[in-house]
Formats: sequence, C-alpha cells, structure tokens
Amino acid sequence: MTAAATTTPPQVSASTAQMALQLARIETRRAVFHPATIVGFALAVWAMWGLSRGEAPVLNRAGANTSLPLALIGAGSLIAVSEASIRMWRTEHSEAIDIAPASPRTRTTGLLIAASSPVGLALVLQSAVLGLMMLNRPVTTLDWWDALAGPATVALLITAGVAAGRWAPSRLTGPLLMVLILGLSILFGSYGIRQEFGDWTAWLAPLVPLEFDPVEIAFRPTARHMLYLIALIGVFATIALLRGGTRRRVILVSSLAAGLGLVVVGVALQSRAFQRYDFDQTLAAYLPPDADYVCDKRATVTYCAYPAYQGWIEEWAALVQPVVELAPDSSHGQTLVVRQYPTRALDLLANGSGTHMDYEFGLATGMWWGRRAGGGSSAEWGDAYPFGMALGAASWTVGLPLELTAGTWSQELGPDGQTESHKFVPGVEDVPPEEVSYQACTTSDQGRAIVALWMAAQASPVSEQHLRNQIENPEYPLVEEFRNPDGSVVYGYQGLHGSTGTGQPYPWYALDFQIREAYYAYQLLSRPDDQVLDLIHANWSRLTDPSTTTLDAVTILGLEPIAGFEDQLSLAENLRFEFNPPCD
Amino acid sequence: MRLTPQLVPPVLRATPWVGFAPAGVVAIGMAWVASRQPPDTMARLLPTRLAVLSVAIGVAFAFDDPAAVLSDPAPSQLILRRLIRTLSATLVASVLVLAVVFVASAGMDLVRVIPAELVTEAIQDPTFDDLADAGLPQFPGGRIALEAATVFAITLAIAAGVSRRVDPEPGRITTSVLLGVYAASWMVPDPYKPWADPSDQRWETGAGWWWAALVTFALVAIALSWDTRNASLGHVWRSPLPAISVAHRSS
Repeated sequence: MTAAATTTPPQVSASTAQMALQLARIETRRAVFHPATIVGFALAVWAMWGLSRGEAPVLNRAGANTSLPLALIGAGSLIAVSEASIRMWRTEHSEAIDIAPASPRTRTTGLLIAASSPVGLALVLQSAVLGLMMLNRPVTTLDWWDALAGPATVALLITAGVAAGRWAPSRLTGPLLMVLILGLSILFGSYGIRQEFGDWTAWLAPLVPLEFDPVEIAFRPTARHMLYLIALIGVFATIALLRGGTRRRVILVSSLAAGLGLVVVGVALQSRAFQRYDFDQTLAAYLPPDADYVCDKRATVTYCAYPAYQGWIEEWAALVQPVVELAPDSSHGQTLVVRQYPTRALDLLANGSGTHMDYEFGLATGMWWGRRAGGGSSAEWGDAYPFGMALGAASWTVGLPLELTAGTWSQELGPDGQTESHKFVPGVEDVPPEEVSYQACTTSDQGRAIVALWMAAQASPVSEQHLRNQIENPEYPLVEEFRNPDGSVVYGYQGLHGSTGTGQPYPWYALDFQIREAYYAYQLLSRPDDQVLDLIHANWSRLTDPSTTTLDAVTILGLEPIAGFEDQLSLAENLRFEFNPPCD
Repeated sequence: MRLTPQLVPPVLRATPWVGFAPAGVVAIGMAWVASRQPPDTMARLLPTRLAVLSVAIGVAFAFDDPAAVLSDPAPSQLILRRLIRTLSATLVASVLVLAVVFVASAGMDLVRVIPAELVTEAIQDPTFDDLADAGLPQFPGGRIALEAATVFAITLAIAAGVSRRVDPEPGRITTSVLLGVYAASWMVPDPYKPWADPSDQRWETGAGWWWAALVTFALVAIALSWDTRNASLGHVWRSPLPAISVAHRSS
C-alpha cells in the first residue's frame, strides 16, 4: 500500500484562481528580470535624471513630466510579456505546456496579474522622483491624474502586449506593436491631425507631453483621460482573455462591449471638454489687468508672482538686489517691477500678434525657473534662468530699455532688383495697429552691454558660471560664415544664446546681446571684483552712455582688444543688425 | 566558392521572410502617418524614422537559423550563408525603405540632399521661427537612406553577435537590443545625438558620422559572422537571466 501510494501522481487540487496566482508569481519574476524590462527601467531612470537636472520643480508639470519616462518601462515590459504570451506557441515549449494543468486562459490571467509588477516598479520610481522634487522647494500643486497616467500607461502597454501576443503569436508581435503604438501616438499629437480634427486628438495617445504653454493655460483634461486609459486597459485585458477558452465567453464579450463603450465615453468627454475650453479667456486671466498677482516691494524693486509661484520671489530677490546695488545710483528715481507672465504672452508680442498688450512688461519672467549651473553653454541645466533675471536687472540699471521696440517691417528690393530684404523700422506714428510689430533692440557695439553682462555675472556663482560657459564652451562657433543666396559670404558673430529650452529666452525678448561684448565681460571676471567695480563707478556716466562704443569701453576698462577676434569682427557684418534696431 | 550558386536556393528558403510582411505593413503605415503631416521636413522626419525602425525589426530576424548547429560542420562557410541572407534581406529592406520614402514624401520634393543654401536662407529669414514655419518642402531621401543602411548594419551586427554567443535564432533578442539602443540614442545629450534635422548644425557633420557607423557596424557584422565553429554556439550556454537562456537543441 505504501509503495502504491508513493507512486501515485499528486492530485492537482488548486483552484483556477490559485493556479493563476501561482503562475502570476512566476511570471512576475520573469517579467521584472527580463532584459527588456531592465533596459526600459534603466532608460526611464536616465530620463528621470534628465528631468531633475536643471529646472526648479513645478508640481503641476511634474505629473506629466514623470509619467513620460515611465513609458520606457512599459515598452520593455510589453516586449517581455508578449514573449511570455507566445510561449505556448513556440515549438520547444508546446509539449511541456500542453500537459500542464493550467488552461490557456488561466495562464493569460496569471500573465495579466503579473503586469502589476512593472506597474509597481514604475510607481516606485515615480514616487522617488516626486519625493525628491517635494524636498526641493517646489511650487504649485501636483495633478494626481497626470501623475497616475504614467503607471496606467505601463499597465496599458502590458495588457496590449499580452492581447497581441495571444491573438498574433509571433516573435515580431511585441516590437512591432511598440512601434505601432508610438507611431499612433505621434499621429494623434501631430500638427496635421490636430489642425484637421482639433487639439483633443492628442489625448487619444496614452501619454500627452506638456505643451509650450504652462499647465494653467494649456488645457489638460487629465481626469477624463484616466477614465479613457482604464477603459482601454479593460478592453485589452478582455481581448487577451477571450483567446484560449470558451467558458464564460458571454461574460467576457459583455465586458468587452462595456469596455469599448467606456472608451467611447472617455473620448467623447475629452473632446467635449476641449470644445468648451476658451484659450483666450484663460490666457487673459493670467495677464494684467485681470491677472491675480502677489506683489512684494523690496527697496526699489517690486516682485509680482502668481499666487502659486510666490515661493520663487525670494530667489528672484536674491539675484536682483545685489545687481541693483552695484550701481552708484541704483534706482534712477524709478522702481523696477519684476513680473511673471506666461511665456505665450511674450511670444505673441515678439511675433507681432500681441498688439492688444498695451502695457509695460517691466522685467518679465516666465513660469519656469532653474537653479543649477551646468557644464556647458547649453541652457538645459537651468543656469540661464538666474543669469537672465540678473541680466535683466543689470540692463535696467545701466539704462537699457526693458520694453520691446515697436515698429514696422518694410520689404525692399535688393541691389539686383529681385532679392527682397526685410528691414525693421522703429516708430509707430500713423501706423495702423494691425501693422505694428515688436522687435528686440540690439546692444551690439554698446559699451554698457559689457557692464551689464559683468554685473549680471556678479549676482551669484550660478550666473557667473553661465557667462563663463558661454565663452569657454560655446555651443556654436563665435564667428560664423553665412552664405548669401547670391553666393557671397559674410561673417557674422553669434548672439548670446540664452534660450532656456522651454521657450523662454533671457532676459526677455526686448534685448539682443552679442557674444563680442560677452567676451569682454568674461575678461573682466579674471580681475578682482572690487577693482572692476571701482573702475565702473568712476566712469559710470561714460560707460552707460549709449554712444560709448564697445572699443571705447574696452579702453576705459583697461582691457586689451582681442586682436584676432576684432580682426575677424572688422570683416563681420552681423546679420541681426538688419533686423534689430540699436538700443536707445 | 563553387558551392555558392547551389547554396542560394536553400539558404533563401531557410531565411525567415515572413517577418518582413508585418514589419512592412507597419513601416508603410508609419510612412502614411508621415504623409499626413504638413509638407515640411521637420514634421515628417520622426514618423519616417520609425518606419525605418519597423523595417529594421524585420531585418533583425535575417540570421535566424534553427539549423545552425546542424549546418555548422557543413563544408559551406557561415560567412557565405550569412552573405546570402544579408544581401537578400537588405534587398527586401531597401525596397521597403524606398516605398517608405516615396509614401512619406508625398507632396514634397524628394531630393538626395537638401541644399545648404536653402536651409541658410530659411534660417536667415527674419520671420524665421523654425523650418516648418519658414517652409522647407524638400524631403531628404538620401539622408533617410543613409540612416536606414546604418540602422540595418547595426541590426545585423547585433544579430551576428547574439547568434555567435547566445542563440541560433537571434531575432528575438536582437529586436529587444535594437529597440533599447534606439531609445537610448534619442536620449543622449544634443551635441552627441545622432539624430538631427536640417536646422541643426549637426545635420551636416552628422552625415560623416552616419557613414562611419555604417562601415564600422558592417565590418563588425562580417567579423562576427566569419566562423562560429570555435564560438560557444556548439556548447551548452546558459544565461544567468532566465529569459535569455537557450534551450539547446543538439540532443
């Protein structure tokens, strides 16, 4: 009896649910340790690191920003689970799987439950990054729906991978599905489709990157989108379960119909929300006179921020105040206003579309901020923001205009009688409002630009590092060849590239600084600060006179003209001169 | 070499052509996505590049050879069989890329290289914001072809490496590695990123790097395909990671 009992095969007594859970445990390990998931996770960490490098945390953007890299975890997991889901069709495994007690549907259920492990990985990574942001003096509040869209997308990609693997069992299924989803996301968010069907089409993609405009102005129906994502997850899970069994098919088909219905509802809700959204009205609420500002007056400077961003006022003041105090007459009897705007407002104005903005901007800053100095001239590290703020204050101090120059564009025939050249003509007398355009003025060949740039570098170690990087690690050649359409070559020297990468150039659109003056300001950095400051104070009126040229200032400040550089510049005809009038 | 003509039919029969069908469908789909964008280079480059990636996924399976262990002691050299597979697979891939370029460039001028003066002129336009606004309706077919050839060379080099050390059917792992490398290449800092558009300064200089990468990875693929007899393919090899363990079939 004993011998017979020992040779009897063990009875499988586990219920379907228990088997599914046991399979899920095994599949979880395989999914998490699959090389594709590991690579996806590593790339997501890399992308997250890029997020936290330069810009100060703005929580209402953090949800979307941290969700996007999580798609990499989803992509890796999609490949992992699609391989697992086709396992039973691979010849080397089919026999072993056929004699296993679990049905195909149970195995699918196990796989779908295992999907929670990469989702958990995504949540852990996202929580860690958001936690770090919370510790780094954040502003605004987190949009939880936007944040949860990332983990939901991981779940969506995995369920789509399982469903596709079950119905199209091929080794190509996972990779091609990934490319397909990426392509569809690009299609839905593309300019052409949005022009044709409306901006809401972008929300058919699982993840929607942030727009050029800040979240307050760029409409994001994140809660409705979450409903859409959950419905899609349900649809794909049901499609996966429909393969490999006939039991409970009615329930599954009903679930599929309900899921598809929810998808349609989600799409309709998103679409309707966009139809009701009034962009102009929302933008107006963030512009004077309607905008709600928190203002703080300190000495001769008033700082105005939107309520959710008032935490930045301290940081602005820490940059502006030292710069203003460097001047012998720091206020010239006036008050400087540092005011926050949506970048769009500045952009509209610079493009000549903002003629309704008939107020003074003051020292305009946007809804982005950066703190850290980077290793190159590229502004991605965020040091362009503090430098821009300091340069704005320094420009005001030396008498450079903070407002854009109003004028008109004229088109003239070139010497060959054919080539059209554009010329900006300042002044708007007798000009119809619709023809008024706005342009920055250039500080080129003005000695006060050197002083302003040096003063800006004194604001903080970060702003000094930014100026140094512009010269020591230029992103573009300092002097460059330009080829005219007629084949002739002109030499132009670069403007000071300070775009922050978020559409917010520094200090604002009103001034166009050139690298030549930055080069001399950089030279001043190698001398003792007190010595330079004494020299500037002693010659303040001459140095800030608009008619004092760069080489005049070089002589006053005791700098040596850089022979090679100036020789090249003597040949140079900076093309931007034609577009930007000199600053008054 | 006398064996070569006789080798062609069986090697072609053994090549997994079926992979090109879904890859081709997705690629043409991506090209259609590109053609739905406004007729400017910038808007169409990304979907076109994704179409090329789809074709590369098809190429990734070109070296899948379940009979590799059996054919290893055959008198025909592996490099010869690989050469036949490579030439035939790249021929099909080239036809697909050609189709992709034609579909994606619908409504635009298809050119080999966008003349530098056109880009300069667009950038020097005072109303210039980006090339899409300024208008650059030339589609850089030559550059896409160069990028495609390089991506295929990288794919084949990965496949050759995987089949040498891990699996006689390297397509599955190759696609994963390829997609990982592809995603990583988009995430490197701008000055080092291989992908550029005509308004980037890297566009001009990048062509040289693409050529260098093409030659390098083609040589790597050749080197790794030279002979596998001394490599570990004939021995049981088990990865510490369960997902890429190989079920050895020689028994």
